[in-house]
Amino acid sequence: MHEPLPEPLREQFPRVLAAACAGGEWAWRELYDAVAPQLTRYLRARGVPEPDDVVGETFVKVVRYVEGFEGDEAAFRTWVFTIGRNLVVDDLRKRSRRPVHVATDEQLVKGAPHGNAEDEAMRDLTTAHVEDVLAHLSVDQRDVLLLRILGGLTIGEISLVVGKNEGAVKMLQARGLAAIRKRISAGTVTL
Amino acid sequence: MSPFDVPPNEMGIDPEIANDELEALLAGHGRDKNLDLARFVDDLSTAFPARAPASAEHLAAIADEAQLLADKGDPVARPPSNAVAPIPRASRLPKRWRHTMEDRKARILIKIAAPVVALFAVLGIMGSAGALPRALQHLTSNAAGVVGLNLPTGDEGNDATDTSDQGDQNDRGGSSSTGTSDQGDQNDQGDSTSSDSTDQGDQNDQGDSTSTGSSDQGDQGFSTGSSDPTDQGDQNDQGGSSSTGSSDQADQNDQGDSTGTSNGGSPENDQGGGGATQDNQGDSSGNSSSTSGDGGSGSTSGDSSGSGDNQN
Repeated sequence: MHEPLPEPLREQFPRVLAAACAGGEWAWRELYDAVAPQLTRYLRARGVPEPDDVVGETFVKVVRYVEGFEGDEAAFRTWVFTIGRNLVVDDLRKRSRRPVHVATDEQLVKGAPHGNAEDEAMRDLTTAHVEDVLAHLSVDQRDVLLLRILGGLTIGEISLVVGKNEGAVKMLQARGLAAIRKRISAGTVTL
Repeated sequence: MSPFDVPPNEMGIDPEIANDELEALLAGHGRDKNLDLARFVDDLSTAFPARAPASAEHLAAIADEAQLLADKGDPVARPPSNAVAPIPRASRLPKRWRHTMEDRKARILIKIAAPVVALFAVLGIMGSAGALPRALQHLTSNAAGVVGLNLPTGDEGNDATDTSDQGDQNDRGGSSSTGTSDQGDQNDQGDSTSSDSTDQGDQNDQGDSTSTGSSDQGDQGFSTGSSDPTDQGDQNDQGGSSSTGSSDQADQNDQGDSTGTSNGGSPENDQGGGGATQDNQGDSSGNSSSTSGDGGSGSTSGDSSGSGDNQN
């Protein structure tokens, strides 16, 4: 079943944002809890080596520039995702110049002992299956689908994050879904 | 390629339909129509659960950053990353240290005006004390006069061009005196060029080299007292070399005048008067214009209108 997203702040958002701009620690906790879990899972699915660090760095930037932000809760979430994604892109550029192999959190988790062997095996199979399907998508298709499914963003919000128009985002989403169907129906991956 | 230049893998793909299907799946509807896709979405959410990251550490960093902003208004330095592209990356000072353009202009004006005001203050103080060089003192005095202030002009300290110098005593070493009515100087020593027009009553002058007093009275010891038209009452002149007083009167105790060309004086006891024909003691060449009346109101010693010389 699709995991429910965190409860949005809705009409409380303006008050929380104002308190955060004034330095209220409780307000930052509210904003962090509303956005950070989705951002973290998106970064992990993209294969970012240290997703938690990226999330922390993202929110530090948010704190620095929040005075210049204007918009509602959806715009705030889009803004946070934009910052996080740009950090990932910058990190990938740096790594492409000076390649450094770093084991991801997922790889470290796989090698670590766990309590329930059956659950671990099932989770590993599921993760391997998902990673195999995602590997057959282009970078842009994977990015759009991850933002859509794991990040919970709309087409319009995704277009702002990735810097493309909504038609292009919709086409990337449709091609990605078609590629996933094709991969599953081919039977190469046993669900 | 198809006849419509559409790639084969995109034929039959409608982005709007695909978007609607995915929205329905994310909302929990239409799973039966797209079972494979629904199961993939579930697997994706299971593989990457929405767990919170290390929130305690992050919140601590956020609190520190927020506190830093509350203290200084802005971070001192911005990161070089272009992750937030629209915002400029140049470092800025905290907000409370920023100044408006008006403040900057005022500061620049103050920086320029302060030395000027200080310069005027120093000039004013030194000018009021008369301690400036002559040219600068003149300039300062004139400038102060424009605004109604009366500052010394710098001429008071020199003996030149005295119009009514009276009663100087013990002047020594004046270089050039051109007083028009110098009266009563006593014990002048070492004046080199004196052109007193109505010099009267100088006593014990010694060593004056060139005196051109028009009505010199009582000069003593002029070396070249010449062209004194109304020289009267010189007493105890010693060593005057050439006296050309036109109306030298009452010279007393003149000694050693070498070329006295006095007209109409009254040389009594004249010693060495240049124009004296009697009582010549040491006069070398006396030219007298009238030789009568020597001894009383006489002019026998060259003083044409001299009266009262009784010791020459």
